[in-house]
Amino acid sequence: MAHERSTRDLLIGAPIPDAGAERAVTAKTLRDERRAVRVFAVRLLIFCAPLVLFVVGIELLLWRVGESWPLNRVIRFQETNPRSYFARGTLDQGTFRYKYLQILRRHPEILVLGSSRMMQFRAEMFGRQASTFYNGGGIIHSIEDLHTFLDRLPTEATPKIVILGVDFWWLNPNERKESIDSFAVGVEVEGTYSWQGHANALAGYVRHPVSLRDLFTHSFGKQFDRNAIGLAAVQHHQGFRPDGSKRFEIKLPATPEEWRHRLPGKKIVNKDILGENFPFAFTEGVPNSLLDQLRAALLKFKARGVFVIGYNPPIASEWAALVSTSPRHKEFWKEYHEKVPELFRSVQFPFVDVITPQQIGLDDRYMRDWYHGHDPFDMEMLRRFCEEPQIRPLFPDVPAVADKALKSPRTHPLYLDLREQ
Amino acid sequence: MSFTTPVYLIFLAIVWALYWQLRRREQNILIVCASFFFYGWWDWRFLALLITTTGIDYGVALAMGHEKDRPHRRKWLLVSLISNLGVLGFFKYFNFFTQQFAHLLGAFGLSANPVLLQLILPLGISFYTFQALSYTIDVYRGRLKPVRDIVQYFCFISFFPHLVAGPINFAKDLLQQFERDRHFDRNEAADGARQILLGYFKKMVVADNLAPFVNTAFGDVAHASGWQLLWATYGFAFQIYCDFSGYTDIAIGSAKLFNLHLMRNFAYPYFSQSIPEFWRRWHISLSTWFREYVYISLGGNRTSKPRQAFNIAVVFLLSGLWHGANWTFIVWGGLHGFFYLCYWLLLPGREEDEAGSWFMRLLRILCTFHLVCFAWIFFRASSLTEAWTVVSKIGSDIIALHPSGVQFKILLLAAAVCLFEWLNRRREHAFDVARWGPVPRWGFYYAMVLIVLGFANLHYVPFIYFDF
Repeated sequence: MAHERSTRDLLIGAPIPDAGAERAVTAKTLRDERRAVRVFAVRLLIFCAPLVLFVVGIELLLWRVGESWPLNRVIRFQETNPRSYFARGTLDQGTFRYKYLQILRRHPEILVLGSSRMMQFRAEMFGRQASTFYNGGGIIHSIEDLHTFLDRLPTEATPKIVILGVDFWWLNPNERKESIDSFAVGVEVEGTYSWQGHANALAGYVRHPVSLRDLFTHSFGKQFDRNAIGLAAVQHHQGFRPDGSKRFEIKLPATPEEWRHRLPGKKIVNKDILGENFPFAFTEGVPNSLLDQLRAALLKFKARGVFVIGYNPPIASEWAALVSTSPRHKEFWKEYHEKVPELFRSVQFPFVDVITPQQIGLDDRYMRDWYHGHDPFDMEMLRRFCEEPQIRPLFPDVPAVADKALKSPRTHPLYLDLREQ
Repeated sequence: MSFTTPVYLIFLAIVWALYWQLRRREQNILIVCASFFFYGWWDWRFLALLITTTGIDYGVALAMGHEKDRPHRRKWLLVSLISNLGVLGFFKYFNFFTQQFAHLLGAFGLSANPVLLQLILPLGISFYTFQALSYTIDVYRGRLKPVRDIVQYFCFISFFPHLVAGPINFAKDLLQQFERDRHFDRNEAADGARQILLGYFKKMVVADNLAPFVNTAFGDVAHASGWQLLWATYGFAFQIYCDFSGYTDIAIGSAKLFNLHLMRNFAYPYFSQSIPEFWRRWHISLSTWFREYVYISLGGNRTSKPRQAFNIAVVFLLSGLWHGANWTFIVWGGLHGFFYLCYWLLLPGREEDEAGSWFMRLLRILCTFHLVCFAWIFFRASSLTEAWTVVSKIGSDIIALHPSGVQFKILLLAAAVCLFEWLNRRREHAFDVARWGPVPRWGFYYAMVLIVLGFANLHYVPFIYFDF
């Protein structure tokens, strides 16, 4: 009901419109009223019907491509489809929970732990041990995460060997915590059931109706890939394989010039490092308190009978050169290189320094970007691990697998031919 | 449960469907149960506080009803005032006044270690306390007979649409509605649905999209430029308006679905041509409350001019303090009081001057808007020092005449709000399109629903007035 008023009527405490004179309630008025309510409700439903159809239609398509599958369903599907891969495009990926649930279900004997920079170790690299491997890369971003993970992990799921990538920012007390995803929070997130996630997906299609066509074509017909679970998997052919490693669809550079410009130039490197953006906050050096926390985590592993292989994940050579000479970073960088290996050795665990591709005889072409190595890099690195007397007996098949894969004519810096393994 | 979550819409639909199947008595019981459920969804512990404090008022009013002579009634009123203001003061102002007292002692060279409490402010306490007080004061003044039916009383206090952030309703208006039979009115319900849609548009599209920019600028005043802070101030003016009036629209719209009328709280305040007019259009329920129960109690207009000026100043300072325990709010109230008194003293009787050319009217609107924006700086800043930094940075950058960082997002959202409101400025709310034909009307509804779906900021941004 519209109540016309001029601005002059807008006095403080203007009287509330009268709800009408009292009417006697009889059985008839009650019946009439209920009928009117029903009519109103039906009109409202008719109004909402196209909107509901739109929402339900999108939800069905999202289900069809696996985007809104609950994580347990994804895991079950991957168990029976070894070539499948999982990556959501609009809902929360739930990496922490997805990988943690996988670890609980698979009880791997060889477990990779660390950030996204450890995601390229693959089960096939371990030969006959492949079935006992899982890559938990992407769930540990700090020493605190490592403790939380260990405290939460049930005894029966404890692995025998952990390959632990110690990112340099773990040892930097000034790195802003909000820049890092935390395991404690992430492990509770099941993006499937978040209404904000679904509403965001919907909002995306309202704002860009053209992308609906994409969703539709990827849900049916030639572009539908039944091994791809999730929108990003379907559209970009990337995602987590059942072994936890990440598959990427890489566009190969065609010319040497393209190879050279594939990684970001010096200007960007300078901006991030000298601008002290994440993960390059200034710090005086590696504090003993953080080293003590790392030692405590390693001792926890040891107490549970786990053998830990430590390493520092790789970065591109240009970046390494700058960070090791920058006046505000070089001290920390030096201490990181000295004190972390020392700490591992003090608890009788090996530590392998493979911070730049050059250290294992490779070059920057083997980097997917300037701080992520790619599959051939990790294969080469694993072979390098096996040169250590403490590690060699643990992975008996790795040298042979590495020889075969790296010598394959199909292998190149961004692709590792593991198909025959 | 927040209005901006889908669970509220589900809750509303269920309560609405049940409500119209029941008779008056059962309807009231349903409203009380639903309202307690709604409030308890946040934190059930505060439900006990709500029931206890407002329950005391119910008893006090009944006791006053039995008393004939005023002094005895006054004693009962005192009980109500002490219990309500005591609880409010304890939760909201204890730490503030303790700290101020310690500072005062410090000024005299005495040291004190104030005991500060870790208290969570119960949601909506300022609103329901004032609403309950309006009831006991009206009963004390003999304007209202105490209600015997406790269900009706709790319907009035806790009716879920207004419970958490108003509007603050008066017993004479709302309580009576629970005593009468309500009849379903299709037009009223449709208008309620429209107003709910308007509320979502204002809150989720405008206010929540402005919030990140405003929060960034005011969150790091030291590093923000003067122009950035100026845009943030304009942004905040629209953010707080759309946030609060959006909440009110959803509340009033929800109540209309039950054929219940809540008090109007906003009447296009940024079209005001003077500060006194602004206060007749902004947070109307609170200004009415202060007028009825503070200004009139202090003597109102029946006193000398200096005394009237004093009364006005007191009302504005208290209104500032009501918003929060911080000097910034008190200064904000003081500034508005000062502006109000300037108009009142220098331009008596011209506060609502509709005469003059459109240009003069526009000029007056712009002047008023900028005075209000100036005061918003103090409202939004976390301290007086910070507010002063904002003012001085804006001042120095404007004088330097190097405009930078024009925020088109703010301009676009503000323009959208102003356009809707200007077109419907003589109607109750900006989405009042009942007079349109069915096709354009439904087209408009679909367009607005899609805009809300597509452009809402879905990261949960709490309503600003939940803090008060």
